[in-house]
Amino acid sequence: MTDVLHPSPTAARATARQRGLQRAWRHRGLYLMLLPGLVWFVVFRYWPLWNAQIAFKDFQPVQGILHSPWVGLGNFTQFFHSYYFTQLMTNTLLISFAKLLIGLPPAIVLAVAIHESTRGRLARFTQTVTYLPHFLSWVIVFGILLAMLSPSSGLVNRGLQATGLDPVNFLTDPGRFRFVVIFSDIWKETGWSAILFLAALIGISPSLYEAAEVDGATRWQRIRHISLPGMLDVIVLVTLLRLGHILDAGFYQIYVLYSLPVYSVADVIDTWVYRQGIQNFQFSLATAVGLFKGLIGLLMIVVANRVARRYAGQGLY
Amino acid sequence: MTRIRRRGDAAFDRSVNAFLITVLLVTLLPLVYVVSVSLTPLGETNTLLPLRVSLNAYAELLKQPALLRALGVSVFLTVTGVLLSMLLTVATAYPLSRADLPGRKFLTGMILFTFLFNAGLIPLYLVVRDLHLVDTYWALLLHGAVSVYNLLVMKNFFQNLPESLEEAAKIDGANDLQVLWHIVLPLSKPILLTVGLFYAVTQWNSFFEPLLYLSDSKMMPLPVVLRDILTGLNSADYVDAAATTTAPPDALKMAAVVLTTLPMLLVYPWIQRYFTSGTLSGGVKG
Amino acid sequence: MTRTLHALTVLVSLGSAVLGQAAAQSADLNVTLYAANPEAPAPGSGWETADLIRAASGANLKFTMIPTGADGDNKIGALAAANSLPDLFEIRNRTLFYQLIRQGQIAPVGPLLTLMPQRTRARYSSTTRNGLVNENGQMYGLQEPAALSRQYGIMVRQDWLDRLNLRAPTTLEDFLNVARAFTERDPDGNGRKDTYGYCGVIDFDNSGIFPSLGLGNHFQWIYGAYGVPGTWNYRNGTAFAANLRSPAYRQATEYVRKLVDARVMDPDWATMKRSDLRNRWQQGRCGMFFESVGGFNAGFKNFDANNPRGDATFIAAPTGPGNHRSMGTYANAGTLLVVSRKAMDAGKGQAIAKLLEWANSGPGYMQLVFGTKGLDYTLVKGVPTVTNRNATERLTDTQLKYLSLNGSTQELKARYATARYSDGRSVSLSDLLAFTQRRNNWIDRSGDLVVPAAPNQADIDRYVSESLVQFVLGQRPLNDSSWKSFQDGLNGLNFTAYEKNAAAALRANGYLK
Repeated sequence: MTDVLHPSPTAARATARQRGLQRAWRHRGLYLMLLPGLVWFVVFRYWPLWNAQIAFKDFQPVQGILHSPWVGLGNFTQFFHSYYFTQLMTNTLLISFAKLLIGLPPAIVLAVAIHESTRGRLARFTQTVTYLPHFLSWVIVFGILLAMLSPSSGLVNRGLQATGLDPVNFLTDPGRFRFVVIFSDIWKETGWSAILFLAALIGISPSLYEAAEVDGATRWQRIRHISLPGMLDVIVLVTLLRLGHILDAGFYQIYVLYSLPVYSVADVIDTWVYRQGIQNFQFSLATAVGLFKGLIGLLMIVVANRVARRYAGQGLY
Repeated sequence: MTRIRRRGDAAFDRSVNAFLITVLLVTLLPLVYVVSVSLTPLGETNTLLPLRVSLNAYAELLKQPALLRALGVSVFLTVTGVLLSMLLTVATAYPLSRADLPGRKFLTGMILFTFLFNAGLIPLYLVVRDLHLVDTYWALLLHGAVSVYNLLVMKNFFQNLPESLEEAAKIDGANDLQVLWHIVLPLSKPILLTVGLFYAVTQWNSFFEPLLYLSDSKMMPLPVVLRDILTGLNSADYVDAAATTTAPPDALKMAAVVLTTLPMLLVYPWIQRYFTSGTLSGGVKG
Repeated sequence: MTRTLHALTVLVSLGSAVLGQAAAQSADLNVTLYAANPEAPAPGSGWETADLIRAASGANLKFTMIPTGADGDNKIGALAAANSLPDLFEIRNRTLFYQLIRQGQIAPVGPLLTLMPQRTRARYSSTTRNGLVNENGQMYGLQEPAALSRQYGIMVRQDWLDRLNLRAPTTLEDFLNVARAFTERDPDGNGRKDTYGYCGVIDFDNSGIFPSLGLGNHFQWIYGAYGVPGTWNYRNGTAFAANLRSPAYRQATEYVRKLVDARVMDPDWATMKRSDLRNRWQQGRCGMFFESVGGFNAGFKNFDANNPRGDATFIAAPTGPGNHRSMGTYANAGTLLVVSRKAMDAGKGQAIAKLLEWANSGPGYMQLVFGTKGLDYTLVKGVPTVTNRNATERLTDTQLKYLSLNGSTQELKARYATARYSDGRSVSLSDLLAFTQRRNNWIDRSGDLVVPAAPNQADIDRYVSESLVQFVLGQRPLNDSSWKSFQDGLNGLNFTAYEKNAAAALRANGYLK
């Protein structure tokens, strides 16, 4: 079967492997450096994943994971067949995508504005202040929202009433609740997300800007042709990673902010799992849903990565 | 950084600054509210700006003997946690950023996989138990020591550094560790600080994990202790003798928020200094 | 600081490794209870009470305090999943209790009873209460009597009633009228329309009251006034079903809607948390509100400072049509203590029984409930009276009190002392407690504890509560067809099976004939 013109495929593979091994040996220092991190991932991420087989079992702690009886996909079907499954998926995806599409641009704009500002002190102060809300827990943010939005005493509603309008209950109105979720998330996290983009901007060599200035570029042009491309890989990275967690719509936020009148638009997978899986101690169910979310995340990332590679020339891997 | 001024720049500057001021005000309003509620004395209604100011809530909180110890625990956990996390993250991210490392794609994929598939609460708890780390600080330091998000961000940053520098160093006979230490890390200050801050904040605010992995209340960090104090004051259905508080519950809650946020507020401007000083110019030009 | 702490970590991790082996030999007793006083830390090593316990039971007490609420439940759940349950611990979640029995993680406690005769006579001699922990003919837990229950009620601003020349409401009709007056007639005389007739929130907390399907604790009295409080209909002679099947349940829901439509309730009621509600009555915004004696006590100071000459007191549960009235349902059962099978197999039963017997004895009781005599409390006319000298230490010293509390009048008198207004008036908290317990027609529904949770319990809870909220908020019309579609929707949730299982469990335990 050996072609005269081409060396045997096995032989070629053998030399390629040899070259690879040589290259690997040259990099032995790097592998050594990798070792602790890889050990960590095996112990604290892969070992738990091995334990996650309880998703397919009726977990009996006394017998241990290995000896617990298998139940096949029972835990998964319990989730898929649950009364609210369609609503949970819809709510989760809507809130998640909205946070990504509406939430990411402000962080990018803020980073650019801070970077462009000629008022150093104003820029620094804004940066410090905008990152502060990240530290407030959602419970506190709920308290603030109530103080701002409450129909009886909230600042916003007092303003509405002063202009002769009817008060609006933002937190119990199914038509408005998702906006509260998205905008409170923007308020809380924009400054914090901007830090990453700012780090990317600062990583851009100043000589690029100087060259552009010499060429007579306007500030807008510099943003378009230097700042944005300089941030592009971080933007792609952040977007891809967020897509990987597309079925996390922000458990804590929803859990604190939602209430019965808005369950139909607010209940997401994680809040359901918390009520049914954690509070009722159905750990196998909770684990099964976790794996399902991972599977969807994997699909999202694979597709999105392909798109990003084609159109932005950047990918995750 | 000096800039050549052009026509249109002034208008641009004005709009940038106007934008920043708007953002500032929108963010600030609720924050001011937090601080003013924390200063509201007993018997006053919460308002946007307090009519009278009282520091009783802070005094009441600082009187708690458990608080100082918890603060010490939190500082210890944050400092050691960040050091450990940074060590692991840099040591993993750097090799994976080298384009010519055999197996790099496979290893990156392996790490990314764990980002997507989260085993969940109990499977991880079982590992920590099997390692006999329950009831030790190692559980808190190790269970989430590396964040895939932070790792990939750092790897991406390393990847985008100009390769010419490292090649030059390699020709000079430097080994991988030397290149990382002398060339790469000094160029990566913004991302090191950013990722370090991310780790610090996660560890500092960690609340659920200490409850899960620790039992001894003397080992608990600040967020847990503050929450205990607050729930005791707020959901006091079974309270015994008269509560002897001198500040309204809301003020205590908000004062607790201010107290936990303060250390991070003090750290940040220090990090910002490195952010704005343009650390990169020297290296790239040379 | 950092260095000492680091040394501490190393020590602790070493210590825990060593302990893992030593536990089998020495008589270490791991006891885990929910925090009795969450605001105070757990006692540390060298605790005087631990020495007393060692002397009494020979056991070396290792006490762990877990937070109340979901965080504590989660912690016990994680320990259970890891098969590392403490020797003696408290369970608040019945679902977990039955799960642990099924998994063989907790031991029958029958053998312990003879080892602690006095405690058994005082606490575990009620067959109904013991029935709550029976499974397959074995007793799987120590079901303590209720140390405190029914401490909730409707409080009214007496000073507002006086100012508007009104009498405290006794019927649902009165209630609406008074609530209207409180909302519209400026009862605090500040010239602003900033008060509300009734403040309540959607709350399912189970401390001293039984949360049922529906709108939660703060509205149960309305269902009580229509004769359908609680989840289940226990009436003999009728077909067993959930109360929500009854026409009276719909009428009660219509009454709630009437309150909402009349705008006499704080419009934030559907979103507020309990702490927000407390804030509002303390600030003088609520004419009537749902509160516990403990909650009133905790907010009393702020209320007094905000409302000079303000006066709040409890009213009895209002009467509805058909002369029904009840503040709600409760379980005549307190703490549930269980022993892990591992502890029993390791021969720790004897030490556990000795500890519990001591906790029930005179000196043990006083030590665990009130702390050290002279330091934490003094006896005034035979009633223990706490000293205010070292409040935090006293609270720390009494973190184990759930092992001892018995709910006697004397105990409640000591625990619920007197609150003093700044203008010299005073109010006895134990009197308030006696009022809420005796005048509210609480209905004992301890049987609910044996009803197994449905596999989709969370969905059922949500469906019922959400539908009711939609009805009362007017998001959904409340008429025959919408009510029918609400009832029909229950089929999709397999609600009939839930009812059947409930009936079977209640019958098996003698709660239904």
